[in-house]
Amino acid sequence: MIIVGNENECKEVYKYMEKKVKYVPSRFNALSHLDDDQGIVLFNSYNGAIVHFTEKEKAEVLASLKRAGTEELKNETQKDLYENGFLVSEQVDEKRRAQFLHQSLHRTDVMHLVLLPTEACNFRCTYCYETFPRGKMNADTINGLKALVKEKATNLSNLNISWFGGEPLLALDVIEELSNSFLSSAKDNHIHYSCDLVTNGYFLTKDVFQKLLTWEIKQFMITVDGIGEVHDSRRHLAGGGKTFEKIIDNLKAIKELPDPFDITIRVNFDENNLLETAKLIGFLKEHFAADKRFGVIFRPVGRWGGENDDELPVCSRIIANHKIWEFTDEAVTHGIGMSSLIDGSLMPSGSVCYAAKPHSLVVASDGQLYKCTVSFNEEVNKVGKIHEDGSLDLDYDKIASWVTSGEETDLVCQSCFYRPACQGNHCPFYRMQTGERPCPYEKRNIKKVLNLIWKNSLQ
Amino acid sequence: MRVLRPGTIPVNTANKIMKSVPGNLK
Repeated sequence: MIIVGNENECKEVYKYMEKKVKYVPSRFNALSHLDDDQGIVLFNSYNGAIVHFTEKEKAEVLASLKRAGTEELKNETQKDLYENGFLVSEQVDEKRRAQFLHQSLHRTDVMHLVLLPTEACNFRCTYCYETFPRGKMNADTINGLKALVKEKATNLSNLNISWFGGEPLLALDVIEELSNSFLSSAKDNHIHYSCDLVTNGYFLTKDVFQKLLTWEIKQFMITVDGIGEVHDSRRHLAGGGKTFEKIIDNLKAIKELPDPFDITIRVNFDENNLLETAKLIGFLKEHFAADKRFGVIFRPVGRWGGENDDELPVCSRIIANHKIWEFTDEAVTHGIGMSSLIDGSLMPSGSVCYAAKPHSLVVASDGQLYKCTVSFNEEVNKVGKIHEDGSLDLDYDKIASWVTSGEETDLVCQSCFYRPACQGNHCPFYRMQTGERPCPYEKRNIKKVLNLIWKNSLQ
Repeated sequence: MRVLRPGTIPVNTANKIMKSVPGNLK
């Protein structure tokens, strides 16, 4: 027992006690208790670590993560917690760490281009927000992109291309021409080159798929909204024809290939197909559960600017938040893999939208440059133009409004456990339009997500 | 303890397309 006589002595004792505390829990931790005494899952959003402790280890972990901290690493559990970033030295300024991470997005050796090889689409989905004003990418823009990448390549370590549209597979020749040029630039300059492609799946035959793989396009997203008529009534051809069977036949043929790839099957749900989704999960289990190259993600339909917005039977926010993870749980329980996009979004900077990244641009088929892919008609989104020689005209004032509207100006985001993952910039357009904080679905239900990541890891 | 995913050096992750607008825009 320490007896102190006056205020100064009291301060001295307090300082002494303060100095002795060496390790405290990271402010970026999240913890989920698993059902049925299966233990706990810990996640740190600053380094992306995810670990599981058994029920037997749980008490020691919880004791080690008390806010008051611990003077030394007394046992193996505490050493493990420290080595994985869940305990940090009290001398670390974690908010400054997050600030530095955010600034690292400005590194100039990475480039991400979202390319629209065509803005035409053979589908007319009921909830689509695009207007398809332009067709295939013109020669000036193709030449400009080749020149841009060739010129930038000497200073790049990473080049990531997202093929988007429209339906990109309507312009396979454009993808081929650009890919061959990009691959050559990447090879000459030892750049890590990776691509993803968003397609409705209608033209994704086995032959087309194999071509895409040779162009280093390995990650795909294809949407299936239900079985048969449920899907066809929402995602039909421009002339009204069915699409479900052709997409599924394509996916089944792709499954027979031995190559590595990563396909996310996206399910968009609203009040119309909510009750049909359980049947779809059963169908996906039957055809794709055994193949871990396929994963599933569920997302609510939103009013994102399409011509049918006012008629869309969107789910309420509460139901949407709940159903995303209820469906995911059902899928994982049936042995269907969870999309890699979900744990990817829990990585540091993993939930920052491409629109908020300084070195990311959307290049439309006429050479117009944008930041965001859901607001092509907004003036703030028309940020420039690419010319045939690869030079760029850029409006830096508009770009600044996309890349500086996150954690910099939001005190709540600055104090959030998820800050390193999304940096307040999960969807800058949502923040602009609604004035609300664009918290990702994963963050809103992090305990459930960690539970599912653990469950998914058992497969 | 079982590591489901090891931690990484955060600045090395500066660099996919998943349109995930977290709600209605109007």
